[in-house]
Order: sequence, then C-alpha cells, then structure tokens
Amino acid sequence: MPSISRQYHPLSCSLEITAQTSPLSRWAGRPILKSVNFLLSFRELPGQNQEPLEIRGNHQQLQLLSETVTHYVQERLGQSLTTASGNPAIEMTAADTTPASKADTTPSQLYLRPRSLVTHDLVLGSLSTNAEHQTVSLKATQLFDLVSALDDCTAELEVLPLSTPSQRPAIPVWASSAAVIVLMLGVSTATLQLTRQNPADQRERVTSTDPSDVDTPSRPSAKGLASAPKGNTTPHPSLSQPSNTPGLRSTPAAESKRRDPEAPAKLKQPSPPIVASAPRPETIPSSIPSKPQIENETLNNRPAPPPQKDKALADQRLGNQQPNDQSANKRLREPVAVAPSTGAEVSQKRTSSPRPAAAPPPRPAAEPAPKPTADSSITASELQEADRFNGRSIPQRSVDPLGQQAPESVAESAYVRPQTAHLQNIRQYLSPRWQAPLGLTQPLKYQLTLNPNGSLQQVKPLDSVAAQYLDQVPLPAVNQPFIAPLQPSQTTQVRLILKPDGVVQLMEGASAP
Amino acid sequence: MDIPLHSTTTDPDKVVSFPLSGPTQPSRSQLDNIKAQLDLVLLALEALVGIGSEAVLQAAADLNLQAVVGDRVALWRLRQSNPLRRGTGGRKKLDIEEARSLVMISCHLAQQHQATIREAVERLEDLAETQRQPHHVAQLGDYLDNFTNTYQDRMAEDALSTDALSDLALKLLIDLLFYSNSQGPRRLWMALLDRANHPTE
Repeated sequence: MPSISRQYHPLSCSLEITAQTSPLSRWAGRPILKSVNFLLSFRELPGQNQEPLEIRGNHQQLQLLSETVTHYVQERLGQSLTTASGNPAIEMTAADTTPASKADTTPSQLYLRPRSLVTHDLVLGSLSTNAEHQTVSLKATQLFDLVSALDDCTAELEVLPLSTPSQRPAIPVWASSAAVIVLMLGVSTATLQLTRQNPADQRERVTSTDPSDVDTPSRPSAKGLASAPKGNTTPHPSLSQPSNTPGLRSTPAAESKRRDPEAPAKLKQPSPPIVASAPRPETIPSSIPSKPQIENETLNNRPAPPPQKDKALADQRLGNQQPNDQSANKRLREPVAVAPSTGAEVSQKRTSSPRPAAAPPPRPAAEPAPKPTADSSITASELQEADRFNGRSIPQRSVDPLGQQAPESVAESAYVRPQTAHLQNIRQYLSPRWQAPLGLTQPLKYQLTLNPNGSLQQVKPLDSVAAQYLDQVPLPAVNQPFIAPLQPSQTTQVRLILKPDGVVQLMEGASAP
Repeated sequence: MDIPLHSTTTDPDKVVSFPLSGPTQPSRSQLDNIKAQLDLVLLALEALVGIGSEAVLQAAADLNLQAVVGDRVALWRLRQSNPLRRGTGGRKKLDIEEARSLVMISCHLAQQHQATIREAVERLEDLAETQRQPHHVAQLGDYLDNFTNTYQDRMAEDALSTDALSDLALKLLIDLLFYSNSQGPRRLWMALLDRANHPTE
C-alpha cells in the first residue's frame, strides 16, 4: 500500500509523519491518509549526552501533543506582563505553574510546565517510551521549534483528509451484534406494520367516519393514507424523527443504534483545550452594556473595571460611529510637527535613574457613570471581526444591520502562509541534491537572497567554511530558475544551514549582524 | 541570581519574586491594556533590531494596510494610543481594525527578523545556564539599554524601575520569537485578548 511521508525540520527537532494512503484516494482525487504515525526527535537536549530523544505515536497522540503544546504556548504568551518573572534564571515553583498545566495531572498525562523564563518541562506521560525520559527539558527556542513543527504539521494534515476507519476506534463485537439484532428487529417490525397496514387503514376508515367525512366520498381514501404514519409511529415511540415515513423507518433506528457504540469511544478522545482557555468573544456582550463609553484614563479608579477587551471594543464603537469625521479631521487635529515614534529617534540619553517613588496612573480622572450602549449591533460585528481574525467560525450570529463590518481579506491573509511556501520549495529542491562532502564536520551557513521570480539573487556564506564549500552546494546560478515565484513582490532573505548529516534547514529572515 | 536553572525540585516554600508587581508598579489594567501591549511589542522590536517607522510603514505596505497605517502621522497616532505614553497617551481610540493591523505588522516584522530574535533568545538561554546576567552579552545588553532608554523616554514618569523594565524586555523578547512563525498573528491576537481578559487586581 503506498505511503506518504512528511518531514518538518526546525533547528532543534524534527518531526516526521508517515501515513498510508487509502485506496479511496483514487476516487477522491487527492491523498486520503490512514494509519498516521509520527516520530519526533529532539537534538541537543540538555542532559541527553548528544543522543537524540525520539518519541513515537499515532495520530491521536500527535493530536494530543499538538493541542497540549499549542495550548501551553498560548497560555504562556497570554500571561500578564505584570506577573512575568523576567529573570531567566528564576525558577518557578509549583504555584507558578498554570492551572491547566498542573491540575488533574496523572502519571500518564501529557503536559508542560514552566521551570523558568527560558526553560520548560515537557512531561511525556503516555508518550514516554522508558522511565528515564519521562520529562523532557526544553529551552524556549526548542519549545518554539516544537510548536512550529506541530503548527506546520497540523496545517498540512488539515488539508489532507483522514480516512474515517483509521480515526474510528474498533467497534466491539457485542455492539456489532446488537446493531444487527436491532436492525433485524426494525426490519421485521416494519414488515409487520406494512402487512398490517391495509386492515388498519380499513378499520380506521370505518371507525373514523364522522358527519364531515360523509359529505365527501373521496376523503376516506385520503384520510387513510394520511393516517398511515400516525399508526406506524405508535409502535416506535423512541423514534422521534420528524420525517418518519414508512419506507425509511428502519434507517434511523439502525443508525441510532449504530451511533451508540461509538459514543463512549468519542468520549475517550481528548477534547482540545486550546480554545477553552482563550477568551470567548461570546461573553463580551454581557459586559458591554455596563461599559462606559468614555473609557480612557480612569480604569485605576474603578473598583472593578471591566476587561480591557471591552475597552478596545468600546473604542471601536466610537470609532465606527464617526469614521468620516475621524478621517477628515485626522490631520487637522494632530500636530504634524511632532515627530512620530521611530526607532531612529531612540534617545541615547538615560533620562533618570530608577524611580522608586509611587507611580500614580497617568492622569487619573473621575469615572463617569456607566452608560448603557445602544449599539449592540455594532458590537456583534466587532465580535465577528474578532472571531474571524481568530479563525473561529461563527455559524449563527446576527449580521450587523449597519453594514459596518471591516474588510475581511486582510484578516484572512494573516493565516495564509506565503512566507513558508518558498522555504518548502527550497527544501524540496535541496534535500535530494545535498550530499555532504567528505571531511565536512560542521554545518554550512549561507544567506540566500531571492528575487521575486523565485531565482537566486545572492548567496552569501556566513563563515569561512561555508565560503570554502560554496562551489559544492547544489544551488543554481544567480538569476537562474530555482523555485516558484514568491508571493509578495519583494526580495526575501532566507538563512540556509546544510548539515554534514544531510539535513537541510531553512529559516526566514536575515542573519544577525 | 544563584538559583540553579535546571533543578528538578520545586520547593513550595520558596518565595518567587515578581519584579513587575508591587505597589510602585503601574496597575495591571494599564499594562494589560491592548493598546499598551501593542506599543510595547513594537518597542521591543525597535530596541532589538533597530527598526524605524520606515520599516513599519513598509511592512504595512507589504500587507496592504496602507489604509490604516499609511504614513508616519497615522503610525504615530496609533502608537500614541498607548495610555502609558507621556502627554496625550491613551486619548486616541484604537478600533479593532487598527489593533489587528498593528498585530499583523508586528508579526510580519518579527518574521523578517526571526534570525536575530532567535539568536538573542539563544544567548539568553546560554546566560541562564551559566547564571550570568544578560548584560554580559553585547546583543542583549544593547537590547536592554535600548528598551529601557526608549521606554523611559516615551512613557509616563515613575512607571517602572530599571530592573522591572529589563524583566519586561526579556519577557517581550521571548514572546517575539513565538510571534515570528506562521501562527504568530493568531498567537499575538489571542494573547492580547487573554491579557485583557484577566481579572483586574
């Protein structure tokens, strides 16, 4: 059976996905995967004696790992700046670990916990292959590489559909037997009902004659037809299908019984906790009416100020109400003479020594009484915007009647990854061609500059060894066809690392000066 | 700090200091303000890779966001919406479209300078292993100095101590690394909402 392999090679780890393609791929026109397995190997882990640590698992475990790592990273990023211990050497105690990462942890549970600002512990739980490697200590860059590989892998697996049997756990024998029995019962009952249908109709037609029916000779037959479903549903009170026609009676019964064995299996699947901790925009409207429209400097004087998200939303409400005024008066109201905040104007003078004095919040003012906002429809559009940006789907939400929705194309483009496409193209070009020359012991580092048409503009060795082996690097000549044209019409710089073991690593951006 | 970096024992009695908290610090609601956070992310980028307004405007052009960030004045107005800023800081309203644009621009710039950001984080990790202070490495020392000077130059007085600013800068540096990959915009946006959604103290 043909198989598919995908490899992701960040700098400090590598993730390899292997899967078999289902025979259904022929009809689907694209690969349908089944039996997905992964191999995650970490390089240069602290305390691992240069021996790479390998973790293997199936698709469910890969999903669990991805959700756990993604959730943890988001949780760390979302921590308040005021409670972040910036010193990288400060160890964190159990009290600092986030509730989700330490609560209800069992020995077989996969989770992450922070150890310091730049160190994290990945507790492998069920993914652990031996007792020595129960916990993996990851640096911040290693965690970044892991989450990047999982991001890319998840994005690619989302594109390729998985064959349903591979996702569904095996149905127990007793469930199959029960389903067959129920199916037979349903068919036999349906047959019995169909055979009894005519006498029942006749009986009902006889007993249901009333004065109104006597007037119309054609109605008894129509009445008999209409009453057939009513009679059929009575032996099956559990079937509550609205479209319960006699010919389809056995189908919902069989399906409902078939679904039952799967229910506990579905419960076993890990529920993704990623979105659970994220702020739910659906909760915003409840707090917005109590949010004052004038919002700026007075949050500190408020006994229980609402979340700042509401504040931003309230800002937008005001902004949306007067878009023309803002655009028209923008330049009039702003002092153009004041220079914008730029990096060029970074002052080199240190203005003062540390200021230990109590710092009152800037310009505290009296808090105005909260005024209920009437433009809840605008709030709905804002929430839709926020959810679109988050990539969340909003199946049923009121559409802004004012039509003040912001353009979506920009937000959606944030999730298209044109920046990484050319990296994959370069990797596909170089991986089969790169063979380390004899005697090479250290990685070769180059800075590639790409033209918008995908050809090479410049290859810059980053050290002397790289310059020495430049002529042996399988790159095309400058301005010769290389990869597909880039998405943005601009030159792009890529950092290329060719390792002696044949690994090709690529990274966006210029090298450090 | 002489606390070992890789000790696996966790002492429940150990007191952990949070340099950014305390009576002399600005309230959480200020720092957690979305406008302030976005300004600080850009400030960290400025301090580390030395980008100026030209780079920000070019990023806006790359992302077709000229309608929101078209010129220096518009950019200045957006960044001036940070309530921690001196003078008129915080008076400017920042709507969702503008916040989203700043998120995308910040992550675009972080992606462009991912190598530099990663290098700085790697050096920070090396320093942590040897329990040395960040100022022992020129790149980190320059970054911290730039961040501290710029912050004290632009933000309201008596805001944060130098040590607290260094801690804030290091936290932002590591965050920048996670904003520099393909999921960076989504992560930054959700982090903004997470921080803004924290219960106030």
